[in-house]
Order: sequence, then structure tokens, then C-alpha cells
Amino acid sequence: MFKVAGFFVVIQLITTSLFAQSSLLIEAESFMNKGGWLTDPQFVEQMGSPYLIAHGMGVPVEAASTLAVLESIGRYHVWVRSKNWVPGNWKAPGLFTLMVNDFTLPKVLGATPGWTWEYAGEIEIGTSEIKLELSDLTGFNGRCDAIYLTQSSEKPPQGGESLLTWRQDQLKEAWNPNEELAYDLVVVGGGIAGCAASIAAAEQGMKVALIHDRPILGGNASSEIRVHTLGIYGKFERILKLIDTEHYPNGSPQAKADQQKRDNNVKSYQNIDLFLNTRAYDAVAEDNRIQYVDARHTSSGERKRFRAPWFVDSTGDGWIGFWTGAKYSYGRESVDTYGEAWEAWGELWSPEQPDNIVMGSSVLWRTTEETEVQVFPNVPWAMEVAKDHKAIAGEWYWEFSRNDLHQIEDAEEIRDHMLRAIFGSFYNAKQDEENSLLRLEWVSYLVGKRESRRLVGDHIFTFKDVVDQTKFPDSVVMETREIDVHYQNNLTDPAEPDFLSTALFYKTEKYYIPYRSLYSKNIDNLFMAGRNFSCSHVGLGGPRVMRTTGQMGAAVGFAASLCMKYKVGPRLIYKSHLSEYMELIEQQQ
Amino acid sequence: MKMALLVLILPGLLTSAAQGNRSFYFLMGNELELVSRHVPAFSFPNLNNKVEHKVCLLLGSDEQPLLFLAKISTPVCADGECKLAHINVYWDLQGNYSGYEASNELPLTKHEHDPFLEEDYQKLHELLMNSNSILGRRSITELVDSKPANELRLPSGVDGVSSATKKEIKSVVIQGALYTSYTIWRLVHGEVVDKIKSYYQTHYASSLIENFLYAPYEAYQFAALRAMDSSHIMEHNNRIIALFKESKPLFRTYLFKKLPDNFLNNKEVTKEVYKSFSAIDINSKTLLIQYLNFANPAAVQILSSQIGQMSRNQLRSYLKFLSGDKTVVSKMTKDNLGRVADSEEYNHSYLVREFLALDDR
Ligand SMILES: Cc1cc2nc3c(=O)[nH]c(=O)nc-3n(C[C@H](O)[C@H](O)[C@H](O)COP(=O)(O)OP(=O)(O)OC[C@H]3O[C@@H](n4cnc5c(N)ncnc54)[C@H](O)[C@@H]3O)c2cc1C
Repeated sequence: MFKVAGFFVVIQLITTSLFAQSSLLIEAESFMNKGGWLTDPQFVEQMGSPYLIAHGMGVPVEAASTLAVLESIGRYHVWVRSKNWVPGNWKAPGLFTLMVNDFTLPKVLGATPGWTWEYAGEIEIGTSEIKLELSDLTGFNGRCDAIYLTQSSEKPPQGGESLLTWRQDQLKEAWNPNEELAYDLVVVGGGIAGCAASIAAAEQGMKVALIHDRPILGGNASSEIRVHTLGIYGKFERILKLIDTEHYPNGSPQAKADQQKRDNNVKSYQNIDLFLNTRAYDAVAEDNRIQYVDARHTSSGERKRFRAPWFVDSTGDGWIGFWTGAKYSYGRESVDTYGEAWEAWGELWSPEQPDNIVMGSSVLWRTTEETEVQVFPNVPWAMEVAKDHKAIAGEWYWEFSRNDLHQIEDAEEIRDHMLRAIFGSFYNAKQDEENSLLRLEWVSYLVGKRESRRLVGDHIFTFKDVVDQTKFPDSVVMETREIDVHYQNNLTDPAEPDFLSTALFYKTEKYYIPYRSLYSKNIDNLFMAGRNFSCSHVGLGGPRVMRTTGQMGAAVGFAASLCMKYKVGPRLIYKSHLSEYMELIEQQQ
Repeated sequence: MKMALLVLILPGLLTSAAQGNRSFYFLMGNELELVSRHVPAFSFPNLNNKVEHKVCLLLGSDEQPLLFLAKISTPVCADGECKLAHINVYWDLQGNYSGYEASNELPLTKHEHDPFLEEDYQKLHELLMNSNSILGRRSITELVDSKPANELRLPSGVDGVSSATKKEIKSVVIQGALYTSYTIWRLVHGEVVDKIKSYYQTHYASSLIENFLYAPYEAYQFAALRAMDSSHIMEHNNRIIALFKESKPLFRTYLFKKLPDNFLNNKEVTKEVYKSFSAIDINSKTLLIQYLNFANPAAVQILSSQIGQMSRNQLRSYLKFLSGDKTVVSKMTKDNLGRVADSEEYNHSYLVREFLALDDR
């Protein structure tokens, strides 16, 4: 009991028990009016929830606000879960304040390192309906996960399991969804691979659920990340043309037109139920068969359970496989594991000893020239990363990977590192007179990944398959684009910034990927398409581009339709129905 | 081969531009001054005209191999017209491009037979230094846009060929000398590289480690290390420690992965290696923390004075190691942790505070 409790005993009488203390947890992402704040659901598995981020590129964003109802009026402690995303000897970059009704709490938030509950202060609340407002002070990625108003003196749990269960208790949200939906095929992850899989399956008459955690489709090809699609169409030109992009520079706003095309095309399929802003958070297998996938709306928190006989993991990060115990790999195999040497590049290409290095993630960005001088603020917290590097745009080689960072578990730190690289390098460039008219026009806040978990299938596609140009009886994907594997520049030249990379290209004739790389070795009803398909680190070097991953998706969609026809798992399509399957694919030309 | 000219030494890069009657660029040290004779080694084919180019090995007076050299005359062809380009190319003993010379009497030429200018020679050297050039993955037909220059509405005539050069190619080649750039790059980085490696391997395998491990060139050190097993590494441990301290991150990581588990048992070796923590790159720092299990316990205390250099995850691994084995936490280590916990300078001091708070319970 906190000190002032006795004083408010009158107010407490209106609650059911004399000692009951009212409290309210409000998830920031559920705010009714988000103003200029954006919902960031990228790191839910690590920090526990989607959150709101003030991504203003140096200009404070419009306030976010919401209404909420308290059980009782009175005196409340206010906690805000937030993070100083670059702790150090400077003013924290992402600061904001909280207003309750008309009172702005004096405490400036976003100032404490690590995801944590910041104590915003105590406040007397005289109405049960309250208004909360988050005001961004800096425009540099302040973040707010949740707000907790409580009459109790106890601090909410810091993190981990206890925070998770506490959160559910507070929100009266059960882990298991109440609502269950049944489909023929559930596709998780609406990148190019997931879209293609959904379309192919829907065209063959399957009832498909496509679950995607963003408001728009396309993953890295979306107008939120803006990578253009490379590779050939293989056998699936018609389908892939519905969802791919023109060849514009990465980061170009031309991505918006292709976005419209993709969204409209996918939505035009009546057999596809599209669950946007919905992030899968669990999947359960029994006897090596996936029973269901559970997903949660990224703003409302509403949960749904998706049941189906077959599932496609096109999350890029292999989440469905990971949750259900599918075999997967991460990092670089030793050069001898699959015979993937390229003598000229030795360790940079494939190491003698295996390690946990993978290709890095990127944040694309661009600037625009205005007619008047544009000011960009000082960003001392970015300079440790940017150092004296100057830049006015970013391309694919703005990439970050390091051996103490995991591309999934540390994705937030990786994204934040790239933001510091961008803001710092742009600040440096702005010190030159010639750049005085430049303004940061667009910086993605979504981290574009290249490589993380790779699920293991009946065949592991490797560099050797490229070099040998192996033709498989089940070659369903084909590609002619060069294989490229990246390394961080600072490995060979420590004076280079740590956020730039170099690509090593291996020129190739046409190579093929077998269907057996597109379903799990040990989970009997799991397909995978996209960069989490079954391959080695070097094997991913070529086919990770998005027309190739799109081909994988389409191939999987057609295979799934035969699974339905024969009521079998993916492996049996290879074993017993291969000629019919190959014929079906041939017909797509 | 006699070297009549003085070479100009620049820091880290020995090079000399157009001098007297030749243009000369060289990346290594004083190897050329040590040459006393050359022996024919092998030849490799020119893909343009099937002529074989002879490569010789340059030896010092002590019969030590120093460099490979080929005096190349190659046709450079464009639009059905061919001319000869003359150039002497040097490679190191691992087949890496090391330099070239061209005589001013038989200069390299650009479009319309204009001779190379000094900056063109310089650019050629830079181009050849890049073994990852895009020229390595483009066939000769992929260098120019398929439409003729006039159809692309580019000015015809002077430099007409290079006007139609594809954008990504144009930035790497010498302007007006697309095919010369391409042909020479392909020769220097082509089949000859593997032939040099295998020639050296065949003739000098037995002395490779000794010759290369102590050489000042990373490519040689890499080759030595690749040939070494645990017993070699223990034999040469002083050199290994020195290399660990002074190498580039990629090499250091490779070296570290090669160390036998017992390399760090010795307290003095552990101290030498871990003392370099603040001076080495961040990826190698991670490896040092990961290898605490194999290191002499002295490493723990050394690192405790370097916490301010650790990334968040490195600190986490370090603290995890400490919580796994409390006996390694000396009084000094604890004091150092306390100091970091109070620090306002270090971004992750809050993790140390959390660790110490847990420890107190
Ligand atoms: C900077 C950069 C440049 C590149 N350059 C090119 C290029 O020029 N051309 C090219 O073709 N490729 C390029 N690539 C590679 C390519 O973009 C990636 O390999 C891509 O990820 C492959 O597509 P995908 O469909 O497998 O995955 P993604 O595009 O990552 O799509 C997966 C989607 O699933 C969603 N998702 C993840 N988890 C869940 C979940 N639990 N629930 C619901 N949804 C979820 C994600 O939000 C994501 O949108 C580049 C990559 C980067 C980062």
C-alpha cells in the first residue's frame, strides 16, 4: 500500500472492495488516433509487444491520442514502458511526454536504457473517462510500448515471462484465441513468396488464409521497404507479374505504384482471406503435424486461431517452423560440409570452420532537394556509428551484420544501428554547403532482412547445385541471376564503416531448385517458400531474390493443391504424384 | 631482369607513375631489387587469339622465389579492328596482381589510337587491383548497350564506343579504352591465378609455411596458416600472437578459429592475447569472450578492465560466463565491475548494475 492510500479511501468505496485498487494497462499500439506515430510489430518476440514509434526523421511527429475508461477515479501512479534506444553521454534521441486529460506529466520519457517501465509520476484523476496523449519531442524514434495507470505502489514486471503473463492478465487476454477459423491452406508472411503461394493455391480452388503482419503486401518489395524484385519468372510469369516490381533503384518511391498493383491483385482473389496487420505468434504441432497457427492483430490485440491441413512458412524468418520444431540452420556451414569452396574468395565466401555469420540487414533511405535551405539537427548519439562517413542516400550495401548479433533476436539493435548510421552520415553530409537544400525524404523504419533461419527440407540446396547446374526430376524453380554473397567491408579494411558491405558475384548459367527444398524434412504438413527455404548459407546467395522466391511460392501453392486432391503431405507429391505436379507447373507457362 | 629505375615508395603502397620511358606500378616491397634471375614457369592461353603467354618465376640470389612475371602482347579487338597492347604484369606468389609496367615506346592506346595518359595508367592500376571487378562477370558482348550509339542518341564519333558502354561498366574502365581495360583485366585475373598457385604449391610445398608465415603480406600469411595444423601453431606461437595483434579482422578471425583448444592454457599466452582486447576489432572481441572457457582464468580479470569496450551482447556473454563460475571473479574483477556499474560513460552499465544487484541477493 502506498503512503497516500488512506487519504483516498472515499474514492475507493466505489470499487467493489475497500482495498481493491484499480489499474489500467493501455497498449500504445491500440491508440485510437496514432497521429504521426507508427506501429512497429517487428520485435514482438524479443520485447513482448508491438509498440508506437515516432519516426519523424528529425522532425517531431504529430501527437497520438486515445480515450480510455478507468474503473475508479482517484490518484494514480503512471508507468510508461519505453526505451532510451541510444543510452550514452548525450541527450537521449527519442524523447516524449505523456498527457493525461489536460495535464502533461513533467517527466520526460524515453530516457532510460533498455526496454523498461519508466515512472512518469503520480496524478489525481477526476473522471473515469480519460484522454491520453503522447507528444514526441525529438522526431528521432522515441518509442512507447504501453501505459500503465495504477493505484497500487507495485512496479509492473520488468520483462520476460512474468511481463507476458502479467500483460495478459491486465488485458484480460487469454493466450489462446477464442475464435477459430478453418482453411485448406494457411500461408504466413505476405512477402512475394507468400503472395505467390496464396495465388497459386487459390487458383487451384483452395481456400487460403494469408496472414501478414503489415498493412500492405510484398515484404521487402513493399513500398515500406522498397527493394525491387530481381530474377527470372521461370514457369510462373503470369502469377509473378501480378505482384513483382519494375526495375527502379532500391528505395525509389516508384515502389508505390507496384504496391497498389500487388494489393489489388491479391485482394481480387475471392478464395484468399487476407489477414493484414496480423502477426502469427505461435504454432503447435502434434505428431509432427501442425495443428494450428495463432495470430494477433498488431493494433487491437484480437487473436485468431487458424487451422488447416497444410501450412506455408513464408515469414522469411522461418517462424512457423521454429515454433513447431522443424529442423533449421543459421550461419555459415564449413566449406567442406557441402563442398562450397570458391578458391578466389576463401573465407569470405565459405569458411573452413562453421560460424554464426550471415548476410546482414538493411534500412533503405533517400533524400530530396528542396528550394530552401533545410536544417538537420545535431545527432551526437549517431556519431559513434557514422563516424566521419558522409552520405546523401542509401542502397543495398548499407548493410549490417556482426558476429555478436543475431538477425532475429537482435533485429531491433540492428535496425537502430542502421538508423544511427543514416542520421549520422546525413548529418555529416549536411555540413557541406552543397547539401544545404537536401532533406531526408524517406528512411524506412522496417529492417529489410536477407538471411536468418533456413528451414531444412528433404533436399538442402547448395552452391554445388549451382556450379554443377544439377537438373533435378523435381526442378520447379529456375534462375539465371548471379549468386552473390555479401561480407562487411570492415572485415577486410577496419577503417571502413561497419554498416557497409561488398557483394561477391558468381556468374552462372541457368540453375535449378528442386521441390524437395520447399517442404520440411520433419514437419509433415509444412511447406516453406522464400528466403527461409531449405538451403545452405552460400546456397541462399542466388535464390533469395524475390522473383526466385516468388517462383518458390507459386511452386508450393500448386503442390499444396495436389496435397488437397490426394489428401497427402508434401513429400508424397514428390514420391507418388511427381509427373502430375510437373505437368501442372508446365501448364502455367 | 635489371631494374634501372628508382621506385617511389608511398606508405603501404609502393607505386610509381610514368617515369622516363615507362609507366610502372608496383604494390609490394623491394622484391624487384632482389631479383637475380628468372626461370620459365608455365604458360597460359590468351582467349582472344589462343596465343600462349609465358610466365616466369623471378628468383633472388638465394634461390628464394619472389614474383611471377609475364611479358604480354595481346590483341585488343573492337568492331572488327584489332591492335596490340604490350604490358609486363607481376603477380605475387599466390597469384595476386602486384603491378605492371608499360613502355612509352609501345604505349597502351585508347579509341582512335590515342596513347594512354598518366592518369589512364593510374586508373588501369587501380582497376587491376580490384580482383572483384564487375569485368570478371561480364562477357565481352555484355559491355555495351545492344543498341548502337546513334540509336541511343549519344554523340557518335570520338569516344563513340565508350558512349554506349553500360553505366555499371563505364565507371570502372578507362574512358575510351573499354576493350583494353577488359582484355588486360581478364588476363591478369584469369586462368593464370590458379596456375601460379599450383606451380608454387608443386615446387615449394615443403617450405611454404616458413616462407609465408613470417612474410609481411596477408595473402602469404593466409596461405601459411591454411597449411598449418595444431602442432605447427604451437611451434610458432610467438608469431601467431604477433599476427593476432596486427592483422586485419578477417585474418584475425580465421586465425582464432584455427587455434587449438590448449593454445590459451598457458597463462602468459592468455595474457598476451587478452591484453590486446581494446585494440582489436569487435568481431574478434566476441571470439575472445566466447573462448573464455578455454583460456587461462587470468583472462577474466584482464577483460574486467575492458568492459567499457564491450557491446551489449558481448557484455551479456561475459556476465553469463561470470555467473556460471563465481570462482573466477577475483576481488579486482569485482571492483572493476563496480566501477563500470557507476559509469555514466558506458552505454550498457545498467546491465552491470543488474548483474551486481542479482549477485547481492
Ligand atoms: C536492402 C536489400 C536489398 C536487396 N536487394 C534485392 C534486389 O534488388 N532484388 C531482389 O529481388 N531481392 C533483393 N533482396 C533480397 C530479398 O528482398 C529478400 O531475400 C526477401 O526477404 C525475400 O522475400 P521473402 O518473401 O522470402 O521474405 P520477405 O520479403 O521478408 O517477406 C516476409 C514477410 O513476412 C512477414 N512476417 C514475418 N513474420 C511474420 C509473422 N510471424 N506473422 C505474419 N507475418 C510475418 C514480414 O513482415 C515480411 O513482410 C534485398 C534485400 C535487402 C534487405
